[in-house]
Amino acid sequence: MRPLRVIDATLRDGEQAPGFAFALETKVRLARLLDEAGVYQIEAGVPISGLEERDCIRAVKKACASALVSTWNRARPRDIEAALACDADILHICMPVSQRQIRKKLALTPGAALARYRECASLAVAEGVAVTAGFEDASRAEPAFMLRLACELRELGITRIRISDTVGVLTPERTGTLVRLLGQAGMEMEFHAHNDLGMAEANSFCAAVAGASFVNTTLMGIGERAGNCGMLGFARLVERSGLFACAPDTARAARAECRAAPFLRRDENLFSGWSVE
Amino acid sequence: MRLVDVTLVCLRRAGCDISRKDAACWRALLRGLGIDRVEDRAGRANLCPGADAGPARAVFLERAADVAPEKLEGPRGAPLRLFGLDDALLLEEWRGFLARLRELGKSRPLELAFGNSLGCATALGLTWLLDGGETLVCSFAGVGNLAPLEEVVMALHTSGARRFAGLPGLPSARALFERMAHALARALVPPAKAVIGQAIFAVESGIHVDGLRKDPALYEPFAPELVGARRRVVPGAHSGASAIRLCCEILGLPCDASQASDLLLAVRNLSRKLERSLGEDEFRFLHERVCREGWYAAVACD
Repeated sequence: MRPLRVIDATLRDGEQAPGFAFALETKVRLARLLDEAGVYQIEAGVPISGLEERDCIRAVKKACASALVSTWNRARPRDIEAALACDADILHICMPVSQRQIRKKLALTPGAALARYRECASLAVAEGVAVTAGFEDASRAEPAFMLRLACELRELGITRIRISDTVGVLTPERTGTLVRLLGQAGMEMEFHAHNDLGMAEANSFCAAVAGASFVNTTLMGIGERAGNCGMLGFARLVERSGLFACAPDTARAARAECRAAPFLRRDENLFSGWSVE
Repeated sequence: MRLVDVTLVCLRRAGCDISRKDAACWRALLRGLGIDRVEDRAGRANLCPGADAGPARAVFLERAADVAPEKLEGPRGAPLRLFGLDDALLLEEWRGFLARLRELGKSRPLELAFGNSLGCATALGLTWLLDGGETLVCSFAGVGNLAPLEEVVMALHTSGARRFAGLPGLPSARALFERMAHALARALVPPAKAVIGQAIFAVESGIHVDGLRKDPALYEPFAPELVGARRRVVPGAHSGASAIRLCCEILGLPCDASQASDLLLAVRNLSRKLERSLGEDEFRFLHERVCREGWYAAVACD
């Protein structure tokens, strides 16, 4: 059986969804649950958010016996500096790769974006920390641009890329095609799904079959909009397939979600007054 | 490709008492959405999962390879509805398996009703249709353990394989569904339910609100107007300064850049303390203290 590793993003992408705001003690408690469940890596937060967030990340790191702890960062030098101050095991740099994201969100040309990504990756790698790169909006990006970026990052010493279906529009077939295509860069691959069309778990499984060796989950699938790939649902699929050696298994994922459930409730009634015209 | 809705059948089977008026309204709503057939009563031709589960299982177990059409139950020539196949995605050659099923459909009309116990029914149903399968059986919100109709419809729409003109009618369908399903333990559609959840277009984090102002499509798979929904910007622990100004705009409250910065600090601290986002009254309270009285640190930190 091929090894498959789970990276849990409950404390970052999950908490980022409206309605959630974990206090430090809650983050530590959830991190312990994830660590006990056997996840490979916990994405603990966004260091540039502030001192309190950085304290949370350090506390999560201290609380984990075996899970690696990573931070999520934009490709900006000050974000990287803030991340380095957290002493996390892995520094993840998010790199938007679709034309839409590069031109409209970053207001850059693709060439300038590549230069910025190279600068930030070099800055982090030079500090001796393990770095992973996240291809944001990969499902709407040009394959040639992604392949070029992947090859350049590999040259810089980065060994893993995250393929993010940022708006959750991939199908199982397109997921497999994308993972196989980026596999040509010869790097380890991670898949990050969103559930906008109800296929986060199926797509994550298909990504693993196509060659991704890391998959992102969140407890009970919490996350932006319709959420992320749920840990228990994904564990159930993987276990049933018999194709992968993967932790957590269904029983441990169920236990973790059951114990985490009281902290993952939110009151959507609070959203009702905030309509944007 | 044809989409068949069996929501009414599933609800009745689960014990829901549905009035004639509601049933008629449901049929009209779903026809308006663009659904090809809306079934109502169980017991009509090929609507018995018990009868069909055998062949479906046989087909599955033998990987569709050697099941001759005459081995399948039911009147010759009548459409055969296959239920289940929840774990078909786990087959090594799952698309080949679907292709074999399509072959089977050449000798006898085949309707697929994928089961959703492993959360793969939408993925399987969509692939079935995109690869040339003729008919898919679904139910609204996935009631009865089938592929959620709204997910299949939206996936077809966003992929461009088939357009549905009546998508803005989905909130009406959700409201009627919840009324008809009141007898069920889980009658209400979860707020984060894909496509029809009431909270899926709410945003809080600075990065997403910033993206919303620059181009909503940066973080949206489809526009909320398409499905009759609205965007919401909720203040909370992950808000940024632009979100705070937007919240003030929504409530018609004055706020300059410096006040927004102070208000942001107060909102973040209170939200973190309460471990949730803030409601309208709480935001107004903080705005009053911060922007009119110049007082925020004590509220935020005591």
